[in-house]
Amino acid sequence: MNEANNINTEALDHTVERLCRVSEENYIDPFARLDWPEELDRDTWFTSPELISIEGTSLWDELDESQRKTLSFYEAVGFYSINIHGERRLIEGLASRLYRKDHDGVTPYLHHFLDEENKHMVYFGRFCTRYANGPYPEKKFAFVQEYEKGEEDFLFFAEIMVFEEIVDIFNRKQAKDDRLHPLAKEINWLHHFEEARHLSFGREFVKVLWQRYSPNWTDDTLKRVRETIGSFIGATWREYYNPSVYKDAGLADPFAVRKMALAHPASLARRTEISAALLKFLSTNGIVPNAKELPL
Amino acid sequence: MSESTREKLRAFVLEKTESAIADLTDQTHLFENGILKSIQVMDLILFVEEISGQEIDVEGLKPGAFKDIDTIMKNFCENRDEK
Repeated sequence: MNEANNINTEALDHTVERLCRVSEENYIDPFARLDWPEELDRDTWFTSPELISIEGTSLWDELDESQRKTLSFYEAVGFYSINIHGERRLIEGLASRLYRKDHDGVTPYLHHFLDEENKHMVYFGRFCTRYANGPYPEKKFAFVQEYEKGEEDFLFFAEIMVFEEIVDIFNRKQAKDDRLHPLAKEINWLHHFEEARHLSFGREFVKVLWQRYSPNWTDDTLKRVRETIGSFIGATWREYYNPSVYKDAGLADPFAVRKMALAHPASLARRTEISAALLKFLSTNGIVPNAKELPL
Repeated sequence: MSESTREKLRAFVLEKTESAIADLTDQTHLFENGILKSIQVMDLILFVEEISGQEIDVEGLKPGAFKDIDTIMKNFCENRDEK
């Protein structure tokens, strides 16, 4: 279908067809796949030490191994909570875009996307509720605003891509980390296994939306879109420094810990490394030409 | 003398805003007037939690709860060191 308002492209059609086939061939049942012990052996790692938000700071140096492992557990609960809230927003947005005529070609894959995101929430949520006091609450809000044509769709999928690109680096590293508790390692592996397809779709669809709509946007809209993406990347990173995590791990003055960790060169270096591919994508495709200069 | 909660809140808004503010009052609409962006709500909530010493129950929270400094003080910082 090539109606004037339809944004499907040949490349996107191929991506959708391939990803649907892979999703169907690799269907995972989250209820049967994972073993959920009554209690977890907490004398182990749940987050790779190098990915813990205060790693590299003097506070980290002061903690003994037991305290570090305790923090690694709550950082995992924090990470899974970020995933739950991000995926909940994603599901709401994807569901409202099913069978839209202007991009009906992607609907078959949106069904898989929705299904897989719901399954991810099942195991993230089960971990948080079974072994902790449930997910940490989300504190990000988006207010209703007016958009130019295509702007809302573009920002929705661009923000999904930002959220998933960052999450996936954590997943990829932790899926290979034998120090992690087997359940934590498997959760990271399962998530990466399916997110890889979502990332592939996300990059292609964000490019299509950008190429289709951005040439018609005013300079003010372009500026607003670029600022919104930059702000979203910064806010996404700030969620990884959660005072509730620090408090539950027994660290004194959790708000001061957050400020210290956010400002520390070691954690900035980690954010820079993990964001590199995402920023390169945004820059290379002209979406945010100066992406490397965005404050992280 | 320690800064009052209200003064800390004003200082936070002035530090975080990217807008040129001619006159920020405690009745200035922070989000409607573009002083703060919606993406900054998370930072504002965490800051209010820090200065009030109380966690905010975010479920069911409406954006209007952070309309202006007066509203934030009334909703989350009552009984603090109001001056």
